[in-house]
Amino acid sequence: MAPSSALDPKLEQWLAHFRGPLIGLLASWGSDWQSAEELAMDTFAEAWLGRERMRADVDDLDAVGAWLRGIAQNLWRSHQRKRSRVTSLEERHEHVVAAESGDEPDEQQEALRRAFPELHLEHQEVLRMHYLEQTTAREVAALLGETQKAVEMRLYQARRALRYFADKQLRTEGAER
Amino acid sequence: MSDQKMVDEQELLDLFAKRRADADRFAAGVAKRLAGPDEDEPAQPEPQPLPRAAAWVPFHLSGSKLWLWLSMPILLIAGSWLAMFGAAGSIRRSLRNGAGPVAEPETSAKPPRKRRRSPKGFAQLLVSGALVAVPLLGLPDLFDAVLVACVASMAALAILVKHAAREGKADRVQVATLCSGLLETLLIFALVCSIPQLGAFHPGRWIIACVFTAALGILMLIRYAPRNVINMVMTAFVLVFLTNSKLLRLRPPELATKAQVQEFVSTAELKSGDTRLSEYCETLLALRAAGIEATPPEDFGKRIAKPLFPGGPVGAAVLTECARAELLPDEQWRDMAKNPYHSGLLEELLTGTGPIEIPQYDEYLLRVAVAQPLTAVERANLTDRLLQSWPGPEHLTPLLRSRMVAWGLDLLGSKELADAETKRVHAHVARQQNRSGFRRGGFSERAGAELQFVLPADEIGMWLIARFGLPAECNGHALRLHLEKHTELSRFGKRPSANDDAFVAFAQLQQLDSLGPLPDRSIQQVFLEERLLWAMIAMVLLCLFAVWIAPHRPQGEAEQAAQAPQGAMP
Repeated sequence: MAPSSALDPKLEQWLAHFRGPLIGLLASWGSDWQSAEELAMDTFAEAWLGRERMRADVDDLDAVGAWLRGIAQNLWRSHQRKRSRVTSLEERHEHVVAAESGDEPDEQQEALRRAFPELHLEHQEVLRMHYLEQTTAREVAALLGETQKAVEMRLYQARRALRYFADKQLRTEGAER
Repeated sequence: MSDQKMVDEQELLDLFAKRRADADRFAAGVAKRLAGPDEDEPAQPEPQPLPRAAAWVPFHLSGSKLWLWLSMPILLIAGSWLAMFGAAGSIRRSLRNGAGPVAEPETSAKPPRKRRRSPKGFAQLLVSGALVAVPLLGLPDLFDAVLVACVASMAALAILVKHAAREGKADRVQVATLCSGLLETLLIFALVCSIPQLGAFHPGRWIIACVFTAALGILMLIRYAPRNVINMVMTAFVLVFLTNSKLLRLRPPELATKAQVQEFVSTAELKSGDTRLSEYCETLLALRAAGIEATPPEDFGKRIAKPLFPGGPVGAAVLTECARAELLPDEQWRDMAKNPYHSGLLEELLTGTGPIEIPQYDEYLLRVAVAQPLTAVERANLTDRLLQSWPGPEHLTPLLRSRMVAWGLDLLGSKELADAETKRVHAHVARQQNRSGFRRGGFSERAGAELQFVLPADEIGMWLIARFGLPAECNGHALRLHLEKHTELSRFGKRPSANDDAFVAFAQLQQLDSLGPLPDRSIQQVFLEERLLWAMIAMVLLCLFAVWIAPHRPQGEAEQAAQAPQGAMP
């Protein structure tokens, strides 16, 4: 395994800013978490190698966000095309099920987990991007090509909606018991 | 709002903790990719696509969409048929399934893109079909059938999207993209319609307004991927600018005025053989029929009816125009019989038998004939031949023939014989009026050496209306709108003849108005006459409906929507 110190400091900066949001974004597009991580690595490598074509300053967060997003989209599409040819959906399902098995979660977390799919897809997306590594709303906004304010507002609404659905889950379960 | 009503940040961080990537492992993964493939690993055969290549392809086409675009010529033909069958099949399956299809499990072995009833595929076919079908609306015989097919296909798409949405297969951005393609087709059609020279449908601008409204509606419905709709609006603006900048101008269209038309008639500086003579004479005749004062310049006839070269003949078409507009004095027509060329034709006309079969441009011979001191036998023979020449249902040019006969009888002073055939002439006029398609309201007739072309025949229709009145079966409102549209002056034309058509249309409009008020139309008639507009509104609304009922997906990732309705769960 190559050490991280081998990377250019600028690229490390990119990773620090966008690793979490990008994995979250790729996961929102339908990848499982492991594939999302792999695709995010590919994206960073591809983006760094092609930075000459970026036509913007590598320190400009907004430009880098848009650049990463564009490349991620293309890689994701390519990945999907290849996967549809070689991988059956059963295998994918097994993979997801295997990845999701783990420690027994507490009741609150389990309620949140079960409430999560109830959220609007936009809300799911910002939550994945923001809370995977607790990055700032600005970085999420740069990747989505939106304003920071819009992302903050969506995060606020998402957290409220998640609480509502989680409480509803708990109430339903309580009533069933 | 207190934070107690929101999920705590820490709870969310805990929720995603298991999914968090290890920073060092991640950086090492990136470094490994930057270093290239290991020697012992098999080489990657497939290079990654250029990250930004798609941005340079017009209309955001790439991959399969680009192929779709390139193969459009074949799809244009096949698409319209397949769209029809697709619509029928979709509706049949939907009906068979009753309450709608049951969502299939995510673990289906069959990839989603292979499943039947894909709204994407059907919508692509629909757009392809529309590219063929919509221009066919300009053909009168296919108008209603194409209109019904267009609306039915659009309704089928909406139904298909509704059903597919339950299965999580339809994507709002995807449907919006394809609907915007369809709207673009409608827009191009509307723009073509609003070019006055093409005759045009009257609601052309209304269709443009509808399409723009729909584009804005779609833009509001797909908040996160407006790129396609913005594309459409931009394309529309470019098209509008290139094809018909009248939509963009701030002031209303400039129409021909009475003073301009009178000036055209009184100051026209035409020479012999001038191609504008036909428009000039049509304007003059229509103004006279409307009772508007119109005096040609002095010696206009003499100037026009000059031989093209000294000692040569005057063009037959020029003479016919001059004869109908009475631009030459009687003695000039009389002297024409001394010319051996004319005298030969005249003799054939006066002594021949059976219906008169002379080309349109030789009709001046009738004027030459009546200028001669005809014997009673010759006059009776000519009258008899003219009466035999009334067109029957088998004739391809009934208007042209009717005008020749009526004009000839009028010249011979037998107006009552022409009047006796008013009913027959009215039937021909009504039949030759365009009920739909391009140039709706105007008149058309076969033309060309072997009568293989259908050409506008407004001036003949209007001549007959001036002579015999407006037939009850004729749609006067459509005719009026048709003429009114043509009175728009050319905005860019700098040639002297640029506005000739507008002057003709203005004079004919005055002629029509001089016949008195048109009969009121019933609501049913109004509805039927504007059926193109209603159909377009229906299609636009169905477009919006299809987009609205398609479930929203973030980021405009159409493919991901088909593959995974939900993202990865925490």
